[in-house]
Amino acid sequence: MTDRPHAHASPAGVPADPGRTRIFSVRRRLALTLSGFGCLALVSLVVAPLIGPTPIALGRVFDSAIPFADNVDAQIFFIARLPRALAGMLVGASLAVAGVVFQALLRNPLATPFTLGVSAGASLGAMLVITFGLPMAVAGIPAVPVASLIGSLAAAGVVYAMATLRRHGLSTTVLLLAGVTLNSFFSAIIMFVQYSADFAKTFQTVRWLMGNLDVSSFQPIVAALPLMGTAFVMFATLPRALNLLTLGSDNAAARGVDVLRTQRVAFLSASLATGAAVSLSGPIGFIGIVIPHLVRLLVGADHRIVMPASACLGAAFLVACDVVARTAMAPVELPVGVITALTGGPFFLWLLMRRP
Amino acid sequence: MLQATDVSFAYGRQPVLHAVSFDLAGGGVLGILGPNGSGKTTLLRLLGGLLQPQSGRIALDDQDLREIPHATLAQRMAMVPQETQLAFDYSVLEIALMGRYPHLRAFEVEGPEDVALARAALAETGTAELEDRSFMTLSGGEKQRVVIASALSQFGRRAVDAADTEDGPAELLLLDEPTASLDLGYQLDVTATLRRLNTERSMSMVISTHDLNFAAALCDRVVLLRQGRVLAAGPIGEVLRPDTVRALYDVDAAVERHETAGHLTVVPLSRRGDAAPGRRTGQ
Amino acid sequence: MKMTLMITRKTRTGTTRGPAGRIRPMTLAASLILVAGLGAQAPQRIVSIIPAVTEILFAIGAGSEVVGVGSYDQFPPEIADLPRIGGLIDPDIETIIALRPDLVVPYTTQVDLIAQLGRAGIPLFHYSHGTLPDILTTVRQLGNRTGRAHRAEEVARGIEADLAAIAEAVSGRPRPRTLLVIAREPGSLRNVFASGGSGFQHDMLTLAGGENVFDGSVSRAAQVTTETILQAAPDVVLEVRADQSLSPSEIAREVAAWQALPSLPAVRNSRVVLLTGSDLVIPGPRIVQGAARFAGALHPDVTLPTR
Repeated sequence: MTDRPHAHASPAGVPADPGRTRIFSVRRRLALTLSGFGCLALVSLVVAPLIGPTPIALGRVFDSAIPFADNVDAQIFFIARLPRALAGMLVGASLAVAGVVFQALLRNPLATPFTLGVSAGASLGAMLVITFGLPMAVAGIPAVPVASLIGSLAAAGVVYAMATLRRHGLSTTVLLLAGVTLNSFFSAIIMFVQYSADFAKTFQTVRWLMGNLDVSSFQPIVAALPLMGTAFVMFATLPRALNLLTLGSDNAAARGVDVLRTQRVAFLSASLATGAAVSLSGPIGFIGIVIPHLVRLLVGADHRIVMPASACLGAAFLVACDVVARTAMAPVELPVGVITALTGGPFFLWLLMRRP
Repeated sequence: MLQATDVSFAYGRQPVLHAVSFDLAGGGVLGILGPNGSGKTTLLRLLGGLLQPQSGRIALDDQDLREIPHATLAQRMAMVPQETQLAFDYSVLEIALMGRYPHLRAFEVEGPEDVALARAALAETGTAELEDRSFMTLSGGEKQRVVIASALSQFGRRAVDAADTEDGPAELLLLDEPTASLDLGYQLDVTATLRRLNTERSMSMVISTHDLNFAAALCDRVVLLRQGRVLAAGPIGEVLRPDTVRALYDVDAAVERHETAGHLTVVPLSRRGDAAPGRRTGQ
Repeated sequence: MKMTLMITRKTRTGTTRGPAGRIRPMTLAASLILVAGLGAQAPQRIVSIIPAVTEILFAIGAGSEVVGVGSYDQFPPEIADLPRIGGLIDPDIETIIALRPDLVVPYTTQVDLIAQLGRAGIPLFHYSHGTLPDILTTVRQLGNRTGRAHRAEEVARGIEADLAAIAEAVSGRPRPRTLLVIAREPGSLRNVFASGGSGFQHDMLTLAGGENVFDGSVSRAAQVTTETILQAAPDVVLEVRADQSLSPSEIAREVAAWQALPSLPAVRNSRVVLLTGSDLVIPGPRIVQGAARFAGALHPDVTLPTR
């Protein structure tokens, strides 16, 4: 990139080099970018619950004199909108970073969190419960998200097993092919289930597949948090290794990276984050491919910056899209996946075309 | 400093190398020569610790490679593969900085010293002014020299790390077909860079190549590899002869010392057994 | 082929077209005369894809002419041995044609099926599904079409009388604001579909003495969000499901899902009711039972007239 922002301050203790007027500081770029994107995410979390199809008065929402049971404004704010905004943040962040990690792992800028079949597995799990009513509720968590999570992890497991089958190490080619094949296979089964189910159930499954952030309570968020938390802890160990992996696994290994371990952690964490996100909200497309590219266009390809920035931007983006989905044609609510596609796509095209 | 003893390797059931042995003294430049498929790249990856031999031993300064931790190994030995394809675009400086990875602790970010060392490595290969350019926009020769610089920056030691040992371990650079896709001009550039590194920094090198002239220009010892076995090994003047070239490539060639160039040259004449194609008249 | 045509002429039923679909001039002329002279020809072999239509056909006495039913039909018990010909998404055109029907009742949205049946020359009954009065209209129309007009009129009047009795029983009582939930994700309040201000289920609710919280909307069903539900603040939540296989504990668990919105008046006052059964969702003769159950759920203390 020839026109990325440069740091201007000079860290203390660096001798002035007469040939260089500019100091290159990774630390400073990291700090600046993260605070910028972090603010964006925070603002969206604060603003989103204020907007919605029903007009509510903030004064009433926070008026503790009114009993909660009678305070519809407060109910709408705290039960309908706030959990929804939080869910949007978590799902947006998870899918965006999973997208970055899968793209780095597969060394392919067209990879998305849904490329390797994780989302198809999740969809199949949800579908089976909705259609056949399997009793899979666990510890108060309803059956559909549980089955969806199991489906996603099963799909990830199958793909991983196939990629590590033949020889020592992980073949990303086999990973990609196995994932794409599994995607088609699961999609075929999903179609078959929809076809043979009665119309009402098929309709429900179709709605689930459109994605929905209306969680209506904090419980689904609390259930998803341990999984996403684990995934993000694993994400935190990856950025530098992923940078080196961009050079190719030989180059990375020659510089001391444990390539196999990095690939394993990358695959597992990204699959976990995707599975948890899809179980929470159904599959919402476009975030996992647009946000990583958008962020790279803005800040370069250093994963130490790209990953946290993508988390923040993904969160803000999905929350914003959800606000639009809720209000554009009120009182009718559009599926949020439609908004992510309609906004993200053209904007991304425009950004690509104006690049020098 | 580098010693391979009876190294054998197979990919699954496909044997590639058989009982390969040679050694390289500190400051020397070793060429691994052979036709495509002879196992050169595999041997280089074994020497770099990327693969483990099924039998035999590879030792760096008398220490078995398998016993050296990855990060330590990466500080003493760097590898430049034949081709570097980037999945995403980085700047030249960022790529040079990636060589600093083995020196950084878990969540440590590169500091000003690392940046200075990376810049020095770029200067070594004459690519310092490309620092802000995007890697994908470079020419083949520039890319190759940037990748070499990135490998070199693995060797630089920061003040804090250099404090405990006196001189630092000897540096070893492994290169796989470094001039394969380069024009003549760039070939000369890379050759000159490598020679300078060898003479000025006593950097040892192992270069795998099928370009005999390039090997002759740079290497003082060679290993001839044919179908995974060592055909001959030793000082280049002794080993590179018409009969060994014929055994290696099935080609009749003239091997002569070129006075102006200052090293041996190999001119292929005909396939073994065929008559020479004959001189072209006119042009 | 010739045999069939002769039989057709003799018994005054059936189509004017042979199985290959080509009109035989003599048969056409003869049949037109018959039509003109003797009134509508009652079909002898009826295929019904629609559960409501199947039930109506049996109720008006045309059950003996039914030769094939849809895959999701369960009533009346007499259809247990009849061949199944698929449903809304997967109608089996081959089986339908193999049954040699002279009347088929498809959904209006099954355009491909309708086109194919048209090409095969099979007459259709155009069924439209809508409000509660539409059910009565369908009963009468089917009566005319199957030559059972008299019986159909009796059935229709019976339904009207029974419905009126239910309305009478709950008249004068306060009408609770009701959220009528048609579908949602099992175990949670995601993707809730509720009845809008129109459609036969809305009519049942109104007749049973309830007021739809979404009255005024013109859609039959709409996906509602948590926000909309909270704003509507229904006094009663009435859920209907066709699936009767739910055990009491499963029903209790589904009802408990509404605890996610403890501030709703319906939840606070424990007025969330889940009713199961096909009489709630099929716009046929048993709609009377469905309406009675609605009334019982909305007004637990009312005495309903027995049939």
